Amino acid sequence: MNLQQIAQSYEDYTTAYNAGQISADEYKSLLEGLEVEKAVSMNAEELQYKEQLNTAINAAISAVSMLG
Amino acid sequence: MKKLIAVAIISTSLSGCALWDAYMMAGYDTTEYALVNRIKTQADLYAEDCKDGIKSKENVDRLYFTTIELKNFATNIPHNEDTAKLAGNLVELAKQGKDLYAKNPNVTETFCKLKLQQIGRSAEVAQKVIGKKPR
Repeated sequence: MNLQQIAQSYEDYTTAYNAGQISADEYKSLLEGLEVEKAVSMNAEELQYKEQLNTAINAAISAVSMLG
Repeated sequence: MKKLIAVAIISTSLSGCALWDAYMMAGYDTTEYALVNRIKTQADLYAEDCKDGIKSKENVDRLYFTTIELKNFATNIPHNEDTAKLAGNLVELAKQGKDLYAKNPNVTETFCKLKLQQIGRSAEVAQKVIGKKPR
């Protein structure tokens, strides 16, 4: 989830709260959920980076193996 | 020996820890992928029941159980910390929903749908990276 999507969700939740569609507790829970979604994005990026690195390492191993 | 040379070549531009973590990272696991897929599917389908408060509460409890199942599964696989972190995030989101239903059974339909959206979106992000783990 990028910053633009987070900002959009924040606006949607605030609109729903101001319109009385959700309670204060629900609004708070949704905002806390946005924080967790940010963490999900960061953790996913970290895992993706390792996957790319792992691919590079294995490609290098294959290349070196072919030399000898 | 050849593997060591290759690793040594790459390591000239990277820190030892990052390299080691990436080289040793846990590979793709069918069960792990199936569990995160189940979370995404449950979040999508349970949104249809949000009008029914009793059913919704049961659904959120069930979803919480599945997130715990993924976390427990991922946590004890060696070199799998990143996936365990993602699983922990999903547990946190599901717990937020579960806690609210426990506090007030009259949760609104809008909240139910929005919380399930958060869980579904996050599960999808996790699913994409878990699916790309090395085979």
